[in-house]
Amino acid sequence: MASLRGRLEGRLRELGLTVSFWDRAGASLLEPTFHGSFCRQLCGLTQVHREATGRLARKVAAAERAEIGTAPTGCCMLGVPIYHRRWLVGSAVACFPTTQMLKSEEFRRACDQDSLDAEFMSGLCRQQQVHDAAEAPTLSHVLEWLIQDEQAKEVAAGELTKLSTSLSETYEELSLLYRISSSMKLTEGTTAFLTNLCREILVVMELDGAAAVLWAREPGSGASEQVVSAGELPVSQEQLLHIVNLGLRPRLSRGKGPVIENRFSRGTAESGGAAASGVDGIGTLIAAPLIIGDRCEGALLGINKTEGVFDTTDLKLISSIGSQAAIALEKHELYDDMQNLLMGVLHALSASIDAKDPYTRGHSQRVAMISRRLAEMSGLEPERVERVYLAGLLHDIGKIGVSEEVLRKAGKLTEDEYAQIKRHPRIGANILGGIRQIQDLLPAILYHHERLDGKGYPEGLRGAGDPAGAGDGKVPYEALILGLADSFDAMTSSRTYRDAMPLEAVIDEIRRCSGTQFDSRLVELFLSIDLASFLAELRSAAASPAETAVRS
Amino acid sequence: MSKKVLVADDEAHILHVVSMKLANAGYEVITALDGEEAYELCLAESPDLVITDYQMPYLTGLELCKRLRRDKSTMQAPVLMLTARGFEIEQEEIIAAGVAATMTKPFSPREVLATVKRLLETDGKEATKRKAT
Repeated sequence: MASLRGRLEGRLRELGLTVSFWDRAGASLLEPTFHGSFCRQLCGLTQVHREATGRLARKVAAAERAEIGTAPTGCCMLGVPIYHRRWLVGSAVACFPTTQMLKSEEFRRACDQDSLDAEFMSGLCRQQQVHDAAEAPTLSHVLEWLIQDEQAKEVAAGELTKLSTSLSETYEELSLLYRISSSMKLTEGTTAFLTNLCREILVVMELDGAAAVLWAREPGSGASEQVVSAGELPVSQEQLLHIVNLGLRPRLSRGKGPVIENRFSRGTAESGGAAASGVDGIGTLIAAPLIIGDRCEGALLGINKTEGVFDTTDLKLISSIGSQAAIALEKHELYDDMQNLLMGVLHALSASIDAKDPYTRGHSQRVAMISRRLAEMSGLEPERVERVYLAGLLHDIGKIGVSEEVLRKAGKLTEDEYAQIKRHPRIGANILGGIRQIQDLLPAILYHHERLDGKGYPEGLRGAGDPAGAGDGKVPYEALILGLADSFDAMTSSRTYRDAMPLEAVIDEIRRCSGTQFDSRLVELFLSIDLASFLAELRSAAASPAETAVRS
Repeated sequence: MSKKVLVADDEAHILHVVSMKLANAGYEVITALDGEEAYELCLAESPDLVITDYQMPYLTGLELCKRLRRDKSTMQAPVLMLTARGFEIEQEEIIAAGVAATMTKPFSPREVLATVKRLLETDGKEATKRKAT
């Protein structure tokens, strides 16, 4: 009401009205600011006038409509109801002297009662604005409209503030969700993703600490519980996990909605036991479940709001982040599954080749490992090193299309048989050509029997490709790696047609062929390895099934 | 005395969100719905900082910024420009126009406030430095 009067004051003064404000029950809320000294003298000091305005205010509130009355002094009174939206909140009573009243009996009597000189008062009255009594209905309407307009403005301003506040929150949420979804890089892994997420919510929700917990999957799946955090946790990650498992996990799993604990330490102290000693320092806590599929597989936690307590805005925010994060985690999971499946299939493929010929058992595995070592030593990026490893694993896949008799033949091969062998790189590239995810491996596989001097097959490429670029008619760098690794393993293993060569002889042979068959840069790198111990490492690794487990 | 910030955007909702955030933080906020209005208000009110959208009728944020740099009474006020995603502007253009910072929509109002604080702080520090030397 005070703000309403504040905003109306100027215009009421112009209209020559003295206005008091009343609540619904007719109790006085705001005394009038008298309009001029006539009103102040005549009405301000007389109790009867005050009582008369109060009576009119109650009448207006009861009838819920405007009323016009005459004060004991002869002044005209206009009572109008005040609404906030649709509800009556009180009334305003306006008072003004009329041209008629100065001649009236009431006026003289009121002056006499208060020992005022009627002539002097008339003089005062002429100094201020006076209306004709007949204007009362019009003035009453004007007052009503003014008040209605101001109230409507106030309601609109209030709604606008609310709207802006929620819009601001929505903006905050939107920009956070945008950042989260653009930070969802599948290749980065879940730990990096969750750490990033914790850092973001720490800032946006104004927390001391944030954490993400993923429960252990079914026993035997290999995965264990995972906790990542950002900011300052008042307890250790193990303690946090313990606390979460104790109380929150069942609640989150059951309800599948977020949870607020604004008096966390007290709550757990009541439930007693070991947990209470560990939770010192957690005052307020908010948690959202991470629901993957239809199961709650983890939680997102906000710990200790920096100022104040968690409210529904935080609740809304953490729920939407939680569901967004769950989608990302599910995507990660599917990606990992797909990647594991692909790698499993590729390993199985390579194992099936090695199985065709007992003499070449473990060959693909060893070539892959040697190639990886060479790729690392060449300074290739880690992702590319892994691609080289994979190419090594699959380099001989084309031998599936070569008859076993030829592959296992102990004696010298006929020209026709040798031609069959020479087809295996192309067959391999054709077989794998259908798998979109490994298109980048095809050049290495197709050209792993090419030589620098152009005497290799299938195309007789000449010259060494650069590690950085494509082959452009030269032997691609990855194919050179595979070629050296393949030859080394062939020479150091027993074959149907010969025994394994001694290591010294192998080294001599490699050195002799440097620059003709092999790339001299790679030969130099390779011979810098302690080959005797590397060979032992290769043999034990390729024989153990652990190394054939999926690497991704 | 509270710092005066002018916010110019032809999208009323952004105008409201930003001005409310700043007003709640104690800044005096004036608003403009297009580039021309923003320019005139800047000349009349000399705000301490200007937040402007890039895409605006009559005068783009970039043009506004260039004009402000030319006028003595407004050349000191740092300009924070809001750009729509997908309408990113060349970095050289931004530097050439003298824009102090840019933010891409959807922005976080909290970050807008933080940036405003930062810009006004460094501005103040530089001013004292200039006085000292």
